[in-house]
Amino acid sequence: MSILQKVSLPRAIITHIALWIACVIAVFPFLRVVTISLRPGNNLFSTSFSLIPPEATLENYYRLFTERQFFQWVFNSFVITSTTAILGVVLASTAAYAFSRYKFPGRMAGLSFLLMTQMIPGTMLILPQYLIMAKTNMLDTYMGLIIAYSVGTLPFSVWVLKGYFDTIPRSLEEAAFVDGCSEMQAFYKIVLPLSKPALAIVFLFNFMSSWNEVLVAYTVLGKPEMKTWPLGLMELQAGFNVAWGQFAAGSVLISIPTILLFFVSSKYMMSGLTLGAVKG
Amino acid sequence: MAVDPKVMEQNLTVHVLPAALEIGKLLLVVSLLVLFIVGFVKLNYKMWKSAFYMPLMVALSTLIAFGLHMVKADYSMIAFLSLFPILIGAFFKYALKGNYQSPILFAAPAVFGVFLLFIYPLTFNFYLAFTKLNLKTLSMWIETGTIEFVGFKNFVNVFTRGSEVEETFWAIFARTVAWTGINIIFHFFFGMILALFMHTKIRFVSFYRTLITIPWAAPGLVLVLAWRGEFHSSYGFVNQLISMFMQLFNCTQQNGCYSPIEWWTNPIALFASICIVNVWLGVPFYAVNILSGLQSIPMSYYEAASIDGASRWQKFTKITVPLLKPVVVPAMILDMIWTFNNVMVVYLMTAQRGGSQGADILVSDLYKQAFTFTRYSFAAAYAIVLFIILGAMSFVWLKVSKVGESPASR
Repeated sequence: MSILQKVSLPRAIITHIALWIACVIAVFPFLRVVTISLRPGNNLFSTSFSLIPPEATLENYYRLFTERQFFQWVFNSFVITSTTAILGVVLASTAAYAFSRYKFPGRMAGLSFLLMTQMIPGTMLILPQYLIMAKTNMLDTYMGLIIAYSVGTLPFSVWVLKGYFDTIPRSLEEAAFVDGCSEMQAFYKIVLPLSKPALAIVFLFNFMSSWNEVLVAYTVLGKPEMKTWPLGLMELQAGFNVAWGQFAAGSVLISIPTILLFFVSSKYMMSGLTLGAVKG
Repeated sequence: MAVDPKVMEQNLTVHVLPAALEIGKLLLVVSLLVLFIVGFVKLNYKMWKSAFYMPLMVALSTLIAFGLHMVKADYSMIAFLSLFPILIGAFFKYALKGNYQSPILFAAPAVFGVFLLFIYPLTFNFYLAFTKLNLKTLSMWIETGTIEFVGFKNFVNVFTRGSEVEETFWAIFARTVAWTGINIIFHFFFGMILALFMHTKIRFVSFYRTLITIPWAAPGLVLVLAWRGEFHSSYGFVNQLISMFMQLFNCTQQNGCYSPIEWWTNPIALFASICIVNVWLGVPFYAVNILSGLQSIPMSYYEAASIDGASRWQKFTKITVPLLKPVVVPAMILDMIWTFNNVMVVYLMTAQRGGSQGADILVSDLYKQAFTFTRYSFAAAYAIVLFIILGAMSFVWLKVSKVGESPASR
């Protein structure tokens, strides 16, 4: 950024104004959600534009907690998402190590197969997955959803981790072999500890992608006590009595940590990737 | 606020135990599977030279087929799973020949798991496309594993459907093309403008960038549903803004000068509203990507061009555009695939109350055919057709973008 030329004052003012307008457009719908969540009563039905309504209350938050199973929804999401993310990291790390360090028959085929899974549209898989789960009694279980998510997150994790392992010099493991380490020991005593940033990125990425997932969960989960937060919020918006205030309250509570997590993970992403490049 | 205290207590408690039990079960199953796979691979390494190896694998195949038949599994599953031991046997006998034990052991659990969980549903989808499975035949299929075979009928139906209440395939196809085109063009256009504005030496740029990234960072479902509310014809801010704007010209609803747009029920307005939402959602991705592309172009190029007397426009078209291409083209290809496949935005904007006809794109229509109208086999055939379209589109795009690649980059 330092190499940029200093801009003239009128241009700077125009740029500031343009970016301010862009920021307002980007943030405004979300601010409206905050406003609606603070309005008393169950209504979106107001034509006022003030950001904090004059008679602001936390009633909607209270009603969301007491009238709906909000905490159960968040808990369900959390359980499903973190299990998916952990399984992704654990199972993918060994596979990524094999693809990064060894040549073997089927290596290229395996790698391209994993890449192919990312290209096939998710919509194609939802229906067969749903029917298979219906046949094997896995609808309305945490297990079914975790398995469905892992199909997407595992190949992605393998690719990212393989890319990172490629940047760790081989000589480190060779030294370990001389000292009498087995291949497994070299992997978990040397390569894994060095890959902490990459493991964190993969975990965060898998976490975020399943945390925000709607459609698969919508087909697989039906029972009220099994719902994840997106399904819960959808339920508030469906039907004849739209609970706008509660929907808005739930949205605010969910969005703030999600947005923070996004910014943390994107920062990690940058630092993790450059770290890898410098080492290699 | 009159909530029954019992209900209230029920809503406030979180049922941890069932979840813990199930996750425990899952972890147990996964670790047993991993152990099984590792054991199986090791066994194969011991056995592969023996003369009985292949016959034994064939016997295992038959055993699996018979076992699955006994538990009334689906035919496609029997065929798929019983082929496995024979394939594994051939791989060990003719490809590995006793070498490469460590990489195979490292890779086997994940690759095998993904293979099973990914290829089998696709195979099943393919099988499904030639059968007749719907809500009526579903329970019979679950109990006995048999479905009626109908040949290519479902594929024919995909292209010949269409009636007074149902759109034809080609109408939806045309809308999907328009949808993809509109979104990519506007994403790129606004993203480029924002990136150029942010690529200046002024204060607060990182602050602006953070705020502009909000539509990308916040959960999509929340934003889409919130936008949907804002398109309400009398209480949403979109129509309020329009009416405020119209009042400037002394034009109100009362004097009959204009009537508010019914975003939810008028198909064209609905489609337009979905496009607006999706453009809004996608711009930050481009802005951030293009900005990082701009920042990677060395300033010395521009200085050299200035010395040679290049105008601003020349600098933009001769330096910025060609050097941004490696950033923009992959982003556009990704965006094309995402937009084409974007069920969530379209489904959430159309599925609940209000009009659902006349604004669907192919994938959201597919989702509705499968889960709203429960035409499973039809949807399976439909999915295969879409897959072919998408594959062809990506292929053409990749070819086109490679042909135009400039050799000017560093």
